[in-house]
Formats: sequence, C-alpha cells, structure tokens
Amino acid sequence: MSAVLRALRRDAGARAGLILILLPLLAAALAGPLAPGDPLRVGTAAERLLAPSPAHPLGTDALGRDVLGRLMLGGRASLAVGWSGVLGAVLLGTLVGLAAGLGHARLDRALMGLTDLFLAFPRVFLVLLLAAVATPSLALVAAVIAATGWMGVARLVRAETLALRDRPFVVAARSLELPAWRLAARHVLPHVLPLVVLAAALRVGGAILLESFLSYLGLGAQDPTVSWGAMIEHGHRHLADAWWLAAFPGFAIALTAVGHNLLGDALRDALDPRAGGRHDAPGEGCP
Amino acid sequence: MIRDLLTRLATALLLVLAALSLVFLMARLAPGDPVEMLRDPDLDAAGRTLLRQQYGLDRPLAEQYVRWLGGVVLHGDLGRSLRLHREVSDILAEAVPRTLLLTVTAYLVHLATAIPLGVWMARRRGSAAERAVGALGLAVNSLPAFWLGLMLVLVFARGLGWLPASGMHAPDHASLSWYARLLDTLRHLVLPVTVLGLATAVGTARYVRQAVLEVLESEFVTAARARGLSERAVVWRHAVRNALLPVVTLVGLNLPALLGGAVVTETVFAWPGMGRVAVEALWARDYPVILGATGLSAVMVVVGNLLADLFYRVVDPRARTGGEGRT
Repeated sequence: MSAVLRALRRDAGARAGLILILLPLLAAALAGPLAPGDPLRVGTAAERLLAPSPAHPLGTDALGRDVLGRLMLGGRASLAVGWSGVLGAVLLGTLVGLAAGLGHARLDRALMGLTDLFLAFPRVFLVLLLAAVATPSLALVAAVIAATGWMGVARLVRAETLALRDRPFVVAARSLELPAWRLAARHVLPHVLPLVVLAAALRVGGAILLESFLSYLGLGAQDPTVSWGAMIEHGHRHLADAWWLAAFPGFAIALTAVGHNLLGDALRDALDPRAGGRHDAPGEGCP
Repeated sequence: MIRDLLTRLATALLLVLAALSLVFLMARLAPGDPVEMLRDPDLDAAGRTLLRQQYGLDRPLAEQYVRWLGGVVLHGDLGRSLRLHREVSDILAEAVPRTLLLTVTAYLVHLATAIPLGVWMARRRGSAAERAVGALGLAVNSLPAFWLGLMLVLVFARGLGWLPASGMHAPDHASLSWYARLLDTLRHLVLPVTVLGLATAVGTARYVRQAVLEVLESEFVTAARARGLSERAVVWRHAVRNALLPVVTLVGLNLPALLGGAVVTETVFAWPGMGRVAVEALWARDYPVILGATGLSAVMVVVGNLLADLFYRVVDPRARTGGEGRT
C-alpha cells in the first residue's frame, strides 16, 4: 500500500486531482470571510441579475444573491453526495459480490439474476422512478446513487472471489470451518480490497455528475441548501438575460469531476501499471 | 446452437417480466397511492374513493399485480396518465420514435467520429496532438452533459442565432415543403446530437485507440507487415477490422447509457421524446407514465442486448458455437 502511495505522490495527475478535489472544501470553509456579503441573503430589487463586476465578481442571481459566494458553498453538496453515494454503492456491491462468490450456487444465481435485473434499466430511468416515490433531498440522491450503482462492483467482486476461492489459503481457512462472514472478512476481503478502492475512486466523478443532474431536476438540494446543480437550473430559467448564472457552476462541477477522474486514473496506474483504458470506455450512463 | 438461442430468448423474457414486476412493486410499495398524489382541489374524499375503485387500487396487491401484468402483456395496456388523461401506451408510442430518431442519429455520429479519431490516435501515439486529444477526452467526460447543452444553446442559439434552442420542429413546420421540413428537423437535431453523440465520442476514441494498439502488437499484424503490405493496408484491413468488434459490441451493449443520455439531452433541449415524457411525469407525480416509460426502457435494453448478442454471433464465428471450437 505504501508503494501505491509513493507512486501516487510522484504522479502529477494525482497531485493536480487532489488539489481540485480539496478546492471546493477549502472554498466552502473560506466563503464566510472571502465572499462579498452573505451568499444566502436575498438581495434588494436593485441587486438582482447583476452582471459580473468588482463588487460581485461572478454577478448576482434573480434573488440578488452573490454567485461567487454561492459557488464557494455549493461544492459541499456535490462532494458529500458523490462520496457517500459511491461509498454506499461499493459497500452494497462488495456484500453482494462476496455472498455470490462464496455462497451456495443457488444464492449465486439469485444474486446475479438480481444484478442483471438492475442492469436492464438505464440508470437514469431507475433513478427517476426511485426519486418519484420519495421526497426530494440530498440524502435521497445519495441513496439513489447507491441503490443504482452497486451492480458493476458486485460483478467485479464476485469474479475476483471466485478466482480466490480455490486458492490454498482460502481452502485451508474453509477447512477450519470458520463462520462464513469471518472467511469473507478476514481471508477474502483483504485481497479484493484494492480492486474495490479503485472501483470506488473511478466512480466518484460520475456520481458527482449524476448528483448535479438530479439537483438540476429539483430532486436534490432544496433551498436554502446551495448546490451547483440547482444553481444551473436557476441559470437555465434566466439563460437569455444572465449567462453567468448557468456558466460558472458548470465549470465548478467539471473541475471537481476532472479532479476525481485524474486521481482515479492515477490510482489505477499505481495499482496496475499495465491496465489502461478502462476509464476511457463509454461510461455507466452518467450524465 | 438452436438450444443456446432458445435459452437466451427465455432469459431475456424472464428478465423483461422481472423488470416489469420490479417497476410495479416499487411504485405500489411507495408511501401514498397515485390517487392521493392527485393535486386536484375539486376532488373530495368520496371522489378519491370512487377513483380508487375505478382504478382497482382498493383490491389486494397480488390481484392488482396480476391484473396490471395481464393488461400489459395481453393488450399493451399501461393504464391512463393522471395528468394528461390519455392512454400511457399512446403517449409512449408518440414519444419513442422521436427518441429513436435522436439516439440513432447520435449513435451513428458517435461511431463515425470515434472510430477514425481512435485509429488516428493509435497511429500518432505519443505525439503532442494525440495527447491533447486524449486530455480533451478526459475533460469532456467530466462535463455535466446537461450543462454542456445549455452552454451550446447559449453560444449557438442565443448568441450567434445559428440554430434553434429547443424542440424538434419550428412552429411553422407543418406548412413547409418536404425538404424544408427535413432541413428543419436536421437543424433541431444538431445541438442535441452534439451533446449525446459527438462530445462523448472523444472518450470512445480513446478506447478504440487502445483496442487498435493491442491488435497492432499481435503476430498476424507483424506477418502482414513482413509480407510488405503498406502501413495503410495493415492498419485498416488487419488491425482496425479486428479491433472494432469489441468496440462495436461495447457501444451496442451500452444502450442503457445512450437511453439515459437521451433523458438528459431531451430535458435540456425540450426534445419531446421518452426522457422528457418521464421527467415531466416525475414533476407531476404521474405514476402510470413513469412506470410505462421505465418499464419500456428496460424492455428496449433487454431486446437491444439480445440483438447485439445475435449480431456478435453473426460477425464473429468464434462466438457462434458456445464453447466448442473456441480458441
């Protein structure tokens, strides 16, 4: 693991990625002292839809709120939902994969059938359906990302587990008649873990994009919580007269997603220098 | 071979059935039934009870399920929209061809761009231009597609005024001659297809590049070179032909991504297809429409995968006999 960390430290892409990932957190922390005025305060009529100027470097929105200040606050929602959604998806996928790989053949068939079933839906439709039956919130978006993103990890972990289960050390552990969870947690999971971490790292960028789309549809963050996706939705409604409203949050999302993708690619190279191009394959259907 | 095919077909059928059941369960197990969600101020408690009886929502869940599934399978009956007061199957029948027009065009543009670009990248591996395109691919993959769409609208529709911002037809579409109508539709297609097909092509090109490079390392390519074939013939006739099979299959199997992308694109450009129907139904909590659209999207994916699988068997002899003769 330390070799991996050393390789990451040497990788310029990884360093750039890390900076881009930490930037929104730093910005949110500094929004108080740095942002001109309170980003949540609704302005007077004279302050509405002002173009970028020294007083408001990125302009103001239709409620007279400072766009720069809101931009600095909005990253927290993206990161929180992106990370917790992927964490949920990876946990779920790992559990399903381990159970399918180590369990009875019948359990394996049932779980893989379930995986195929979820994969039969275009992710966005499944997300819309799930979102339709619940109340919009950021927690809902994270849950939906987890519930619709576990299948790839499950397949990956199952394949890896199946390859491991006939290796001598697993056979030996099995012959000790350890409880199933212990066999999975102590003897199989450590060998699958690097793969799982990589799978998670490669998915966060996509999850952040998905969060922004759902917030854009009004299914995520609700006022007064600031989120970049919701800011773009607001900008869409004023596209004709205030281009800055939609433009800047999109750049922020893109930079954060680029940061995660750079770090993910660097991690992949560090874990397996030969593997290439997995990230270049068409994505999982994330907007 | 026949048995293998029948197994595939049966699996696909089962999958469709399971998908429809999942959709039904998800909607019915959610808190509140569709009638409760109706925001009609004229509707009192008695009216709601009547509606529930009319729609059969007062029956046991199992009975509702059997009825619903029976209706779907036997008559293609997906119920009525709560908002538009029309048959869901009619709404979808109208929307699906529009989505297909958008996705098929985007798919063709995608492949027509990604394949030559990827081959070019493989041949110019390591050059500054190739690395720049690769970096561009990473950047484009990180852009929110709906935002990219808005920015294109901002520049090409609002700013330059070259292209229409949204919709599928101009208001005077019906009165135009046939070629003016064609031109009108094409003009409306440009921006959505750019987002759905063109922007993502750079990412696929990186994948094509990888596949071509791998084939270029194999022995039959060395043998072709040794026979004195021109580099052009080696690359296009030997390397690309063999590299494309996995690429085409991958993109074909990526139908969920294409349909999902269509939802995003249709929302931004107000393209009146399945995705927009689903999103508008979502805002109105119009369950029957969301159920129908989601179920149909799953059916399209399963059928699409089955077709891609069959296609693969036709073009690649190794996949034809499951097991025997496979290298």
